[in-house]
Formats: sequence, C-alpha cells, structure tokens
Amino acid sequence: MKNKFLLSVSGLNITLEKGSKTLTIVRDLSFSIRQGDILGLIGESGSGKSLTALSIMGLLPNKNFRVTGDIVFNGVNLNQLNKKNRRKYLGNEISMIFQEPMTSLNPLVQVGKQISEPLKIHQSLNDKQAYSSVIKAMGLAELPNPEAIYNYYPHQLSGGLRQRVMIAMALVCTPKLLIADEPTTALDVVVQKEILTSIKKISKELNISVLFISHDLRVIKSICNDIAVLYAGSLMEYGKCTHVFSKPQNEYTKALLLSIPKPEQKGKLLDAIPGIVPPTGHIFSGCPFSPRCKQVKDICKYKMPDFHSENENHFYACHKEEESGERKNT
Amino acid sequence: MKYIFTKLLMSVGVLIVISILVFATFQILPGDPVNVILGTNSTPERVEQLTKQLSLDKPLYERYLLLIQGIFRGDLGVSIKYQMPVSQILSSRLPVTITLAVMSLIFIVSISYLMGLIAGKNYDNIVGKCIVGICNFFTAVPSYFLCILMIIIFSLILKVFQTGSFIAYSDSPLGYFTYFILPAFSIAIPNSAMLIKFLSGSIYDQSKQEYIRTARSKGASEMRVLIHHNVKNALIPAVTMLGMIIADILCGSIVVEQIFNIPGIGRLLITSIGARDFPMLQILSMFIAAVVVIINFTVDIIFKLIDPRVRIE
Repeated sequence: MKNKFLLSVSGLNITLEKGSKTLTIVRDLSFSIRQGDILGLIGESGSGKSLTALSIMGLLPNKNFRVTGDIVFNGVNLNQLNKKNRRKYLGNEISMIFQEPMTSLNPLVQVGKQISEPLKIHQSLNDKQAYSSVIKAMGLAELPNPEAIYNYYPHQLSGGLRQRVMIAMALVCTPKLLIADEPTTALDVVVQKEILTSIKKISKELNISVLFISHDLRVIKSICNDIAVLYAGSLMEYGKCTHVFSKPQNEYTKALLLSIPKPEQKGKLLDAIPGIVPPTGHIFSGCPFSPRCKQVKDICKYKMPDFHSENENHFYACHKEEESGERKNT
Repeated sequence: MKYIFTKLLMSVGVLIVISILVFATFQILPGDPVNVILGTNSTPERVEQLTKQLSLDKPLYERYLLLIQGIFRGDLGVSIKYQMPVSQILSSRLPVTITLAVMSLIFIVSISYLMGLIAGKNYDNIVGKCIVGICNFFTAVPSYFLCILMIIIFSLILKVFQTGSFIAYSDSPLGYFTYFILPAFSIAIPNSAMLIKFLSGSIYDQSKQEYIRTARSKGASEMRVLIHHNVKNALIPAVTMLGMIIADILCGSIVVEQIFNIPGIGRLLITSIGARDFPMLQILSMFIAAVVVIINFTVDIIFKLIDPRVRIE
C-alpha cells in the first residue's frame, strides 16, 4: 500500500429513509483503489454493490438516500462537494458503465452524438470539434468501423456493440476512474469475454483504475487485482485477488468459492449456501452472515467481527481467530 | 421515403372510403332537397325541373362520380340556403377558422410545453400536483361555461377585449387579430389542460428510464438532462394528442364560434344543419374527414422525423 490511492472510500454508510423507518443498506464500507488497478466488488443481489457505485457517482435515484462517510477521489472528498461541483467529475474524471446496454442509451440520438456529450459538457466542444476524439474513443472501445457506427441509432446495434458504445462514452474524456456496474451481466458468454478483455486492456493501456462490480467470481478472478466481498451491505473480506482466492479467510467467501461448479465434482450436488440473502435493510446485531454460516459461534450472533489482517494485502472480518486468542488488529 | 409513400397511399384510400360513406349517408337521410328548396306548395313541373337541375334523376354511382369530378374541378355545388357556390362560402369562412386555429395552437403549444415541463419535473411534489389538479379542473369545465366566463371577466368587467360584433380583416387587421385572442384562449385552456396532464405524465415516466441516469453519469446538468434527453422522448406520445387537437380545432370549434359570433366553419356547420343545406353539409363532412386524414398523415411523418425506430410493418 505504498502507492497513493486514487479513490479511497472509508466508513461509507448508505441509509434509506422509508416513511418513519430508516433502512441501512451499506454499513461502514471501506476500500481503496490505486491508479491503474482493478478492484472487484462482489456480492449477491441486494448486497448494496450497485448502490455503492451510484453513491460514488452521487447518482442515488431517490432523495431519501443518505450517504455518510468519506469518498476521497484524487485528494477531494466528493461527498462534501455540492451537486454542481460534483458534476464536474462525472463523465470527465470518473465515468460509469451500466448493466443494461439495451436501455442505457437514449433511443432518439445517434450513438456518436451520445458519445460526444461528455466533451460538450466538460470541454464545451461542438459535434464537429469532438468528432476526432469520439472516433478515437470508439476505436479504444474496439467498435468496428467507428465512422459508420457514429451515425447509427442504438436500436440498430447489438447488445455487445451498445455496451462498447457505453465504454466509448465513458472513455471519451479519458477518465482516471471507471466504474463498471455488472457490464457483462446482460450479454451472452462470448461477448462477455470480449468486453472483459477490452476493459482489462483499456485499464492497462491508459492506466485507468476500474471499480468492477459483479456477482460472478470467475469474472472478477479473470480481470481484477483486488477484490472486496460484500454481504448484506457489510464488507466481509478484502485484499489481493491472488491471496483471497487461494486462502479465503471469511466463511462467506469460502462458501462462495465452494459454490462454483467444478468439472471434477461432476455428478455431485453443488455446495450451495443454505438459506437466503436477508432482505435489504435488515437489522443485524452480529455478523450478517451468521444465520447461514456453518461455523457459527455464539459471539457471531451479537457482535459484528472486527477486521483482521491475514497479511498486509489481505483483510477479513470473522470471529474465528478470536477464540484461539490470536487476535490481530488492523 | 417508402414509409411516406405507404402512408400517403393509405391516407388516399381512407379518403375515398370516407367520401363514399358520406355520399351514401346523405342519400339515406330523410328529407328531399327538392322539397326543402321549393317547400310543399309547388307545381310538379317545377319539382321535375329542379330534380333535373340537381341531377337527382341520375343513378347513384353517376351522381357520386359527378360530385368527385366537381371537387377536382373546384365546383363544390351550390348551397341551398345561401344560393351561392359552396366554394365561395368556404373560401370566406376557412381563413377565419384557420386564423382561430393557428392562434389557439400557438397558445396551446406554448402553455402546455412550459407547464408540462414544470409539472413533469415536479410530478411527485406539491407544485406538480397543483398543476395537474388545476388541469383536471379545466378539462372538466364545459367549454361554453368557460367562454361565458371569459367574456364576463375580460369583456364586461375588465373591458380589455371587445366581443359580440366580429371585425373583418378588411376593416381592421389589428382589430381582426385582437378579436381572436379571447376565443383562442377559450379553446386553448381545456386543450392545454389535457396536454399538460399527458406531457407531464410522459416526462415523469421517461425520467425513470435508464438513459436518464446515463446522461447524469456524463455530468449533464438537470436542465440538460430534461431538455436533451427527457422531453425529447416524452414528446413522442404527446405529438399524437396534439394532432388530434389540431384536427379538432380546424374542423371548427362549434361552441366557441357560436358564442363569440365568429363566422367560421363551426358556425357554418350549425346553420347548414338547421337549414337542411344538403350540398353544403356533404362538402363540409368531407372537408372535416379530409382534415383529420391529412393531420394524421402529418403526425405520422413527424413521428418518423423524431423517432428513428418508427418503421412501417
């Protein structure tokens, strides 16, 4: 952790006020991304990973969401900026790719013009001045024949091409951070692989950091340097991908890794995690995973575990070490 | 281009069917035009002469063809009540209705665009709810009541506009256009109310779409998101409604023309019905049908222009 962090999120809490109730969706989440690194944020549906991404962008859909904690980007705490100043970062230094390429583009505007919009907003260029940058971005996103596709409307493109248009749109102002919210979930497997390769290549060539959100461990494993495992809004395990995958410490991470189908287990039952994900905003007194954990102890049910470090690049939240007395602090 | 051609062909087909239907309807209607013109006390010779003059002795299909030929030659027949060529009457009435329609349309478009935007942006708070509530009120108020209310307030109490005696364009162009302000407003209010409700709902629906979030993620200001992305998509269904409103106004706002004493198509229609002026009514019915078909055709073309996804099946 010697390098300076491009983005560090610390103590992030997202709550939703619903009538008189306050639901906590993400609690005390902290992670950091270095320049040029890819961090994978993984979790089941409803674990708050997409909302975490939107809170970094400041684009939470409802006024009733409250975000507390620090979101420090390049030395600036975004969470303390007003809307207008925050917008200067969006599409410019931080950009985002969404899950659904079919509905994320404006159906009435030519894709070339949609790609050039960040340039119009942040650099006040017109379509003509932006043209060469747009074509360049389309090339980076590996869109075939950019000059022709420039004039296409979204409905004339396939899902994979639309997602590449989204990537071109995100790259057009050469951002420092790219947030990809399940960019391959809606695509078929072949296209998925191509898009992942593109994202990895772009990150490497342009030294762009990526926050990659997914519920697919294999996808994360194939492109990320670091991984953060989220369960019901709490961070369970965080560290270098190689460490986490080879020596998972948290019971949830272990269970997740076990639940991946492997060829040598053919014919046997899959190790699915028993139980279901708690509903969004469920109030926990202890570890959120304790009701489904096979190694659950009494302490798990009433006390949220502290973070332990396996080594300097690998942290996890679990009570298992505490009983044997070798408690470590981060 | 193929799209326009197909639509055009369809419109012509509809027009032909309508002209046959209108013609047939007037043959079935009770009441003989000859009796209407001559009254009951007339000689058989006179009746026979007039029947011949009006070509009523010819077979139906021949009379239909004569009518269509006449329309293409600009000969629309002679009005029974006015004893004047129908074309001459129409050419004096049409400009009046068109002026009224254009002025109402300017009001409708500007009021509903502005208010629709405000209401759509504030759809789930008090401002939007108030605007929609007021719109509900004005859609429910009958138009004759609104007209009378306008006359009482602006003409009798405030004395801003003069109503009652129509000012011809030849007398005073300024007076002519000023005269239309109140009636145009009376037409615009209920129609705008409908359109505002529709547009604001459409804007609200579109604001939930994902491309709006994409636009925000590019750093677009709320205003830019609204104008460049949201409204553009929301306008598509509203254009259909606007087309219906335009057709409605062009066919003469019967109540408004009657109350404000405007010699337009609407009043002509009422008088012709009262006088059983069959040649006049036949042409007016076809005119109204043609206006609706032409407006629908135009709306289809506009659709094609704003929505690249529109294709003909």
